[in-house]
Amino acid sequence: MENVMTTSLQRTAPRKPRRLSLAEVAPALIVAALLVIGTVTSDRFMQSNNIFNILQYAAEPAIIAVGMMFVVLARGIDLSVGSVMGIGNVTVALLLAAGYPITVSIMAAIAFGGLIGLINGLLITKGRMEPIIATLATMIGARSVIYFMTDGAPLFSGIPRDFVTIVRGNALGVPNGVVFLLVAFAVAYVILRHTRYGRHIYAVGGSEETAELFGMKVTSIKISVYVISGMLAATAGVIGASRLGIGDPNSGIGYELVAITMIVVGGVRLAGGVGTVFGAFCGVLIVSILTNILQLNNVSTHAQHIFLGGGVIAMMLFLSSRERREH
Amino acid sequence: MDGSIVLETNALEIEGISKSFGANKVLLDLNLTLKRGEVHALMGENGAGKSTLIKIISGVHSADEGVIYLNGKKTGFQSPFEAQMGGVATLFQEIQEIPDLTVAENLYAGMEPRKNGIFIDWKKLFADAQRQIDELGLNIDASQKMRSLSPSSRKMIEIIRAVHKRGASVVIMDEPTANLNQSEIDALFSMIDGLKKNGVSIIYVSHRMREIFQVANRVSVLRDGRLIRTEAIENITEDEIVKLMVGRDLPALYPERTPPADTIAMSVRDLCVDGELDHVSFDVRDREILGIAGLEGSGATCVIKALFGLKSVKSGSIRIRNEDIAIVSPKRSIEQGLAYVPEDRKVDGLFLNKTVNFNLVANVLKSHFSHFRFVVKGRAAESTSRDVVKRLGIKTSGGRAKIGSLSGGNQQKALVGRWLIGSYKAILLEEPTRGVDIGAKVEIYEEINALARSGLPVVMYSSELLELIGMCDRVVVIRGGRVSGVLSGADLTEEKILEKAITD
Repeated sequence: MENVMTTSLQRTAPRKPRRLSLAEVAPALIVAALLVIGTVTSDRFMQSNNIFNILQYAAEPAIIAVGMMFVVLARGIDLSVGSVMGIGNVTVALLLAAGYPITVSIMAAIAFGGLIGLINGLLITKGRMEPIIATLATMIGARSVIYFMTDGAPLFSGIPRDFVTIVRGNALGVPNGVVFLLVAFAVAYVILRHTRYGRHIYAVGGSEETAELFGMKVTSIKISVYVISGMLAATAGVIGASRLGIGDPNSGIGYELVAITMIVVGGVRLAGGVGTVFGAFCGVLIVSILTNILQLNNVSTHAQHIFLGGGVIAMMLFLSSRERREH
Repeated sequence: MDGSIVLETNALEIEGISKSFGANKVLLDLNLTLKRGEVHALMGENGAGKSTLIKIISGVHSADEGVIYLNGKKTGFQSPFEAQMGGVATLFQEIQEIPDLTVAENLYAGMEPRKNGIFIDWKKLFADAQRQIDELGLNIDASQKMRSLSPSSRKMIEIIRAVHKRGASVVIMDEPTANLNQSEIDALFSMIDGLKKNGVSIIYVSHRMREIFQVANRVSVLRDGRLIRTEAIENITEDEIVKLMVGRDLPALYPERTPPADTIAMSVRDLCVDGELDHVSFDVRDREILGIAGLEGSGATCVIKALFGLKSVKSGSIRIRNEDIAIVSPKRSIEQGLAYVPEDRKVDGLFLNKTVNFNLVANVLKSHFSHFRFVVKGRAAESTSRDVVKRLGIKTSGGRAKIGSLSGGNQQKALVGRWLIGSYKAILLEEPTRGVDIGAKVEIYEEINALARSGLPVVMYSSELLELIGMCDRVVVIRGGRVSGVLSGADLTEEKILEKAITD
């Protein structure tokens, strides 16, 4: 019976695969171009430890970028992620130093991040605040909490060896940090592409009013994306603590902008409702590979940001011109 | 035979509905019956209570008093979603859609088929959606993004979602043809016919009288929150409906025209826009209102935009009273004395979150700047704006109210009215009365006529042919980007315009 159904369905609806637009494949093309440029300009670029290095250093901002993507797709923005990363970082370090087990410390750090995300979500939905204002306020507030927790000094002692190997180790033959990054994107892909919840995030970002009329739980969805963003930002903080083996009160400063840059370059629309996980992943690669190429070619840190800024502008000009043409 | 049996049960019975907002009584003890399988037109001026009634039926508002029975069962919906699930679908004026998701996702929003209860079954989703679209004979690909569809296709998808997916037995349509062209309207009407045959009842709200007579079985007229009369459409005339709506004899819809002079005030020559207009030329005489007509895609909508400098014009000239007007940009056009009322007031016409004063003086701000050219002379702006508000009878709580808070009709009046300030050489209008009730229409028509009479050449595009016939001295018909005919006098009829617009 079921077989009959499916065959007849296929006959009535022979769908040709949707053609990808240039704007959709652009991020991937840029990644390919950067790989070529990297290979040409530096012998060291294609060596496996350099590639792993790129990905490992990308892990923290990239995981934040995943959370940011959830928020931005739902037409929000989360400026607090850098501070929340710092919260995750010092929380896990403090708890470990106080002798709590590793899993408990990590869970608590991530939960703390989720809590700040919850506060963001409530301020924005129940408090009807603009996302940029609400998260700016929590960004400032959370950084202050970090300084209270640590007296402003880095935490060097009491972090167990086992915790450090979480990121530095390579259980699967590649550095664990790389694995975390890939897992984050894979999970995000499944959620955003293949679950109702994920599609409804797009719907909320596309038109909140319509999503409401369609019977979607708009408020819960909006709160949830900030919770996800907060938890992922804190996770990035935990990874940072594990990678360096210290708790750093300045951890995460400026990361909100890096994360936004990554997803925007990857074609995620800041006005909500548009963007793919694959695109965002390419965005992460674009920013990380570009930075790496500049470092390998001994471009000074000061000058690097000119390239990054220029790249963002070029990408945005391209996307807006495509959008104009499509309409 | 069995059709008549079905018709006997009522789809919706509204009994004694009252509703107030603060001290303002919007609906008073209103009764209305919707038969099964009928199209029931709801008419009334803005403020008559139509939209409040619709919103009560569809669960946006709740009534203070009264009961609604849906298929014999008492209902009290708390939200449009609840109403939809209960079988009452509402198509609001704005299309409810997520433009960047696919057609299939829009159709199945919130009820996407799933595998293992978790993951969306994309194959089934697209196949189911496509089958539904195909069954209705529509040529739409379910995997396309909503954004890429034409307005009518989007409306169709909305109807499919509301009616077929949720199994609605009552459908409320609020100005469904507002953004549609004639062929799209025809498609909508044949869909409405299909719904009727399936026993679906439709409440149809529109200001377009001709449509009502084309599509409705019965018509109910509301005035000041009361039901004035319900009548079978064949027992009532257009004039009678208008009288019932306003409660008095309305002066003729279109103003008395004074014949234009023979002297040419404005001439347009060889207007070309790539892919849209091909050597369009015409003259406008003194005191003349010239209409532009044409089907969707003919380039007619482009003429006014091109004249005002909104399109990249390949060639073409405008000459107004021996003075050449350069077609460069809207800014230059205004400086050279062209006034323009755009088609979509919300996007192109008004600063919705600014005050009435700001909007009325926005285009003449220069003369309201102080010597330093930076500061707006607030008082001067206010008094100028007050004059316009008074002259046009714009209903507002004051010049400092946000213009977005005004009703559509009053926004449109403001849009036309702002050109009364300052001196202009010619007026360009696009759909000057879109989405406006009859009372406001008459006032806008009178203003346009007064502008023409004062000696300004007026060029006006409208998709409502009757409006062009009623208002214009001559109508230029555009087909395939070229002028296919200029009609006036006895030749100025709907048939003749369509003939010129369609056939070679």
